[in-house]
Amino acid sequence: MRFIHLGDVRLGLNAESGKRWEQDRRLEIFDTLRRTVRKAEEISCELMLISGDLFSHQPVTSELEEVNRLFLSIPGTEIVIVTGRGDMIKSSSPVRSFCWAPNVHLDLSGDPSCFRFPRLSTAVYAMSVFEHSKKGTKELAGLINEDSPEELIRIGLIWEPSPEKAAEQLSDSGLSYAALGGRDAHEELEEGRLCYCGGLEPRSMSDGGPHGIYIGDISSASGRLIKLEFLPMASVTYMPLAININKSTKQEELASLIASEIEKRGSRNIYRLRLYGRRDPGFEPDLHGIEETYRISEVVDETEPQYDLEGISEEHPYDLLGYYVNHLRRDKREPSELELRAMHYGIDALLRTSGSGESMK
Amino acid sequence: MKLNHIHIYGFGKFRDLQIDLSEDINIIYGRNEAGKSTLHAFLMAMFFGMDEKPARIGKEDSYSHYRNWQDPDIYGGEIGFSHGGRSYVLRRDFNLGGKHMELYAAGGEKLPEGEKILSEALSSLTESAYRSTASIGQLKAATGREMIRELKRYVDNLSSTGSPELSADAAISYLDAEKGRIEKEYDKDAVKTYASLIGQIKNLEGELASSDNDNRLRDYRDLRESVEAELSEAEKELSELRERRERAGALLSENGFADRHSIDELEDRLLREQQLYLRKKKSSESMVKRAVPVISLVVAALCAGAGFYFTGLEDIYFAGIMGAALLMLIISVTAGALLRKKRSEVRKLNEELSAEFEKHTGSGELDEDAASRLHERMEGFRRIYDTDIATSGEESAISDRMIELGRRRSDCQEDIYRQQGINRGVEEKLLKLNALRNRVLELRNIIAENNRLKDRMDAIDLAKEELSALSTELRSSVGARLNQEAGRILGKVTGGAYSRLEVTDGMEIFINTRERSIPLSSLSMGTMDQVYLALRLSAIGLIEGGGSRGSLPLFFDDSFTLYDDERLGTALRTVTDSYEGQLLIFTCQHREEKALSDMGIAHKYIELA
Repeated sequence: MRFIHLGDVRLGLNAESGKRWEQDRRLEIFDTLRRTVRKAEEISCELMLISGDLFSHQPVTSELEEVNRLFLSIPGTEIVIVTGRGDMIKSSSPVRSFCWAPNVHLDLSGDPSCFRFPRLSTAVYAMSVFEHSKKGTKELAGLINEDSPEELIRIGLIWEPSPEKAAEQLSDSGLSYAALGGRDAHEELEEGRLCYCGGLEPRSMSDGGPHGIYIGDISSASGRLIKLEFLPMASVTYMPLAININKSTKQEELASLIASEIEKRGSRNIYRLRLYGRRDPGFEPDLHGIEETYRISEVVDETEPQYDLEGISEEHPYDLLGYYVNHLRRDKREPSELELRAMHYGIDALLRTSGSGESMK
Repeated sequence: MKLNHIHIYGFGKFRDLQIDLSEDINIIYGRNEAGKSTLHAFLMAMFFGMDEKPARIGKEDSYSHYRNWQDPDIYGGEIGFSHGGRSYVLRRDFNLGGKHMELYAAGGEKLPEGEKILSEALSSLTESAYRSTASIGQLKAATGREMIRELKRYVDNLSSTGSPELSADAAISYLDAEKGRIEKEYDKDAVKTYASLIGQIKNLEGELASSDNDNRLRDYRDLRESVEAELSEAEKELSELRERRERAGALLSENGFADRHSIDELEDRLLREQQLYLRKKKSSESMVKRAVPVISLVVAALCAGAGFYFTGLEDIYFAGIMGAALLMLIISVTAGALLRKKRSEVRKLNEELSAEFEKHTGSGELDEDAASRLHERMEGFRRIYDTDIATSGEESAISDRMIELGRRRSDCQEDIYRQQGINRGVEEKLLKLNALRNRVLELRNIIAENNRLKDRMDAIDLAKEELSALSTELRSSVGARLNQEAGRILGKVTGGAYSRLEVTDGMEIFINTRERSIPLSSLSMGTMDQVYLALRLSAIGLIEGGGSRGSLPLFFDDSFTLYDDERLGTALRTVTDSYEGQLLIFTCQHREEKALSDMGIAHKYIELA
């Protein structure tokens, strides 16, 4: 029996709010789900397990329809869905009255439930997140332990963000596989019998690493997991990119350096650009062009204007500028970011207004 | 810097003028109009170059002014000076531009960094700074006003930043402008809007959580389904009932029954008729009736036989016998006819009745069992009638049930419509919630940006604070040194009459004596001049930094005209004592020369022709 385990898809997530590619990003997430469904078709997957947070929020009917159409296209694959914290079932949820395709299974009872697929010799024990319900992994484990099924393959499916709790409750319950959701990164527990699939797509800069699905085979003869493989599916990776700037760095050079670094790593990826080093005080990096071309979600400018503090102090031994610089230099303590920035502002202001002496002519 | 020689190629009225200077004190004497001011202007032009265009409208255009119109091609000159232990020659050809210059080392080698060396030799002073300090015009209050104002401003910059070029106020107002620019980008309402959005989200979530918004559509649909199933069941029942009645009706009417009564009637009639038939049949079959014609015929035949047998019988007897025979024959014939008639009647009755019985019981037998068969059969019809036709009670019960179910179905439908309305409302709310959440995300970005802007503004505030604190510190230290130095010089200039001078933060100048603090403005013009002289001399020292007592050539341009001899002497002694640099005293009198000679101070005397 071949299965795909995915979760934390978070359709509709607005991960890139306010960005130029905000809309594209949302479409990409849906597109990755589409590719996953095509993959299921391609590898003749018999069971698809969605371990919570298919949606990032309470889905409305039109969103459910869109997903349902997609699921309808693989009628040979049984799809079992549980909800997570993001798309938890509430008393007013539109999903309560939604008519799924015959191959889609989502229990609305609020209790742990069992879906039996005699054709696959499989029983899937599933527990969704319901609003105002405390039922979770413990209750699911209870159902699994009470049940004495004819099916040889037994699978658990739940959104449980705590790996400790999941392991504690489910490791001895005789499951062939436990499909867990609720964590950003994929993770295998108990030699792969308990797996967090992680998000299908990364959702923020802190969510690095590969994202995708688990594909597994369970023996119909023994009910044992015989093969498990993680397949990256995400269309995008969040990446930090640090660029060193020196006193001779100029605008064009900087822009082309950033562009080539990004091209090297993938132009669709989303970058957190950090500029560091010492720049010419008169040079203010202008990244508008680069930001128009690439997905740069954040620019952290840690560059410091390369003032020749020693030179200043030597040239201005008795005046305010020299005084100011020496005052800062005398402080043995590492200056805070604020102090450093203040110093640059102060030096800049004094240098820019030093011509005012000329006005006395 | 010390000037060694001056060579004017052409400047104003001078052509090819050479003057060698002493490193110490030079008295340059010339009558009025001899060109002392021109020489002074030449030196300034050599030091700082000239603006080809006047900086301000109405300002004297000295570049044009000093060009010699008779010999305009020669416009410039050279000065030799020493600085830092090295000798230089500075040449300027103003025809090549007001700022054009060339600097040569003592060996005649041209120096590439001439401007830098010159600037260093001039202690980086600008022309205006030089004019305010080291170049001193006539010391008199009236014309000194301008100088006083300049010096004041100059000393202000000097004392707050330690450099006449730097201005703490300008830097701070630059920072203020910078902060204002950042403030414009700062979205003050972001936090408020954020809070209000969070409130709206909470409210919407609350509304959605209300049980009024529960989604029971599936329950209602299930209920409708079951009601509809019941309803269709009842419909089926009803139509079956109706079908049965129709079939029964057809069956009865086929058998000629309109109603239950007609069954009874038929049964009654047929039974009656059967009884009658049986009776008639019985009677037609009685032996007597059947015997009469036969016996009559036999009797008639016997009579007729007897008549003929006994021939000879009296006619009467014969006639009697024959008559009796005839009678008997008549009786026989009549009775036979009657019997035949009756028989045919019975036969007919039998045929008719038998047909009816055949029709209703399936057997034309009219025997004794026929009645029970008929009854059984009629009972069957009656039963059919009772169960299949007289069913209005049952039918109306089903109809009532159907009406009830119909009502329930429409209730369900209504619930479904209502629920669909609620669901639409919920979906709208969910979409709105999403939009609000997106807005919140955007605002988070704005707030993060605000925080970055705030950091920058904080940095600016800190820079301002530091600059202003340092400037105050410096002002007091420079101010204190200036006061100290100026006081020292003033003590010398005034022969000890005044020795404590204070320039306040507000740039007011006070002379402090043991008894009181006198504002400068209330002192005599002469004293004011002395104070300013003292301030200038100390200011030069401060500009040049450290404890320098002066390395720049100090110019006095008819400075002491208004001084009496005693004051002149004091002033000159003060200057020569407190200033270590070169002195160039331009004068149209011999008093300075005399005073210096009287005091035994060495000097070089130069007379302009």
